[in-house]
Amino acid sequence: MLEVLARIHHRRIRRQLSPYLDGVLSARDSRRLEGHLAQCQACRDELAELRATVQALAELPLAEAPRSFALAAAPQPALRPAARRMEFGLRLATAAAAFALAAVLVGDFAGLPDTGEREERSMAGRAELYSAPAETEVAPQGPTAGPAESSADKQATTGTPSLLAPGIAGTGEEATPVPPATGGEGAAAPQLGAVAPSAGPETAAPGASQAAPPAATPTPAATPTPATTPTAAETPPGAFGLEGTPETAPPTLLPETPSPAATPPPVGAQIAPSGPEQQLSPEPEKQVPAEAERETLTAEEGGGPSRETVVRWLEVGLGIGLALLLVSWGLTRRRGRA
Amino acid sequence: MLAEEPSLIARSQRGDLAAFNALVECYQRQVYNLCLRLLASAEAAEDATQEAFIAAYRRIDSFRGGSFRAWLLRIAANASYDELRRQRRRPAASLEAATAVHSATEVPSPAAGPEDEALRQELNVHLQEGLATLLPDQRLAVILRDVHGLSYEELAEAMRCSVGTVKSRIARGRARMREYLMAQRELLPRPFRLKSEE
Repeated sequence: MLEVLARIHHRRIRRQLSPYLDGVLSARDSRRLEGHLAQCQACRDELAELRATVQALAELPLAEAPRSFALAAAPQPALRPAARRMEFGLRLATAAAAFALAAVLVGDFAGLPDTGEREERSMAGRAELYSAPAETEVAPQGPTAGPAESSADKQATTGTPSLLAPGIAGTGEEATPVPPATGGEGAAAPQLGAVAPSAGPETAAPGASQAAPPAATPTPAATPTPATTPTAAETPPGAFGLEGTPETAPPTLLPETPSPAATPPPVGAQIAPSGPEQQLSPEPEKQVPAEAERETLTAEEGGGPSRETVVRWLEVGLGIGLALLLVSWGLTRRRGRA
Repeated sequence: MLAEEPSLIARSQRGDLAAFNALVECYQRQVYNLCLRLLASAEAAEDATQEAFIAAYRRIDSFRGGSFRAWLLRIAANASYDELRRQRRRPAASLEAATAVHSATEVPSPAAGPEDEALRQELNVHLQEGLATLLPDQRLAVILRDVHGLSYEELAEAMRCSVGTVKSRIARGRARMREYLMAQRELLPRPFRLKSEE
């Protein structure tokens, strides 16, 4: 026990040898150390060796400076802080560019699986608040089922509803509560075709105009339901069933069949003047379809590919920007260090 | 320390290059020797010294009193570490390779006779090798304390740590140096052996 205590004491004393040499040990500690030294040969030896080491180091001669290090001219004073400030800016820019690139990529891939229509639809749906597709579908009855079918098929085949979710999910959610309500109203859309002959154009026209905005939502909303039941034929009859007008079924069904073949908006425009039933819709439609046509046409013809190329160019530009940022960042760092 | 040091510092802070160069002339030997001890290469020490004075001029505004020497030697130590890092990137010149070249730290002392001179050089070599075995913080502490004679307070300023930390770094560094030199006892010059065996 005493031995252990002595060893601990010895170790503590050894640690104090260095400050003792420098005279920075407190008077009390110095007295205690000197007391220990008087008894401990090992510590006396160690102190002597330590003193010799310190002395040898102190005797190391200082070399003469090989030349004058006086500055010939004032060096650029703000090089380092500037580099640091630049670095912060570059980091910020890099982060922004990376974020933008990520956004573009996400936007691009969200629309990738489909050829064009799907993209346009989601685009148009997002951008135009579904006004554009609505009219195209309302104008000719068939098209409603047509695009719905096609979209449903596409969704089913592509199997990427999640990617399209941002565009459609929102509309689906908005629309799902609507369909029953608009089903009647939306049924007004079919009615347009069927009831048109019986009802006056005035009544049909408001019906159409009313139907136009809600019908807009149902169509994207319709996509989820047909997705489960790919046969779009079921949905229209259901709508007619609600109406309880079996005679109307044939006319609506008929337009359905041509719809997939015929492009929705032009058909509406073409049929509107010619068909007697469609004559009801023309006036409310004409204002809207005019825009709709333009939009859908631009979307179909120019929108799809142009958007893709735009996205590609954006990506290329961002890539180049990122590369430039990285290079300049590296350069400033090196310069800052140097 | 020069009597006019405070005014020279104040003028340097106002951008007076002549005043700063007066400070350079005053401290360049110490700065160069610290770099030389840390780098063990005359060429690298020269570069580091120049870098240190350039950095000191740029940062002179950040000097807020205290020991100017400690502040300057701290910058010199950092410049030396930067130089070491640069050397490590160039594989040909590592610290080990540099310490193998002893000529750099062989400082002739004109007062001594030829025999003493030879002994001194030999001891110098061993001390430099011993210093190279220390951890960087301990090495800097031992050099600043025992070679340059800085006080514990100055060391605390130069190393930006407490006096207690300085004490322990010096103690550990010296203990290691002692162990290293004792292990080489037979190789050491006689004067050292006699001293240590007293």
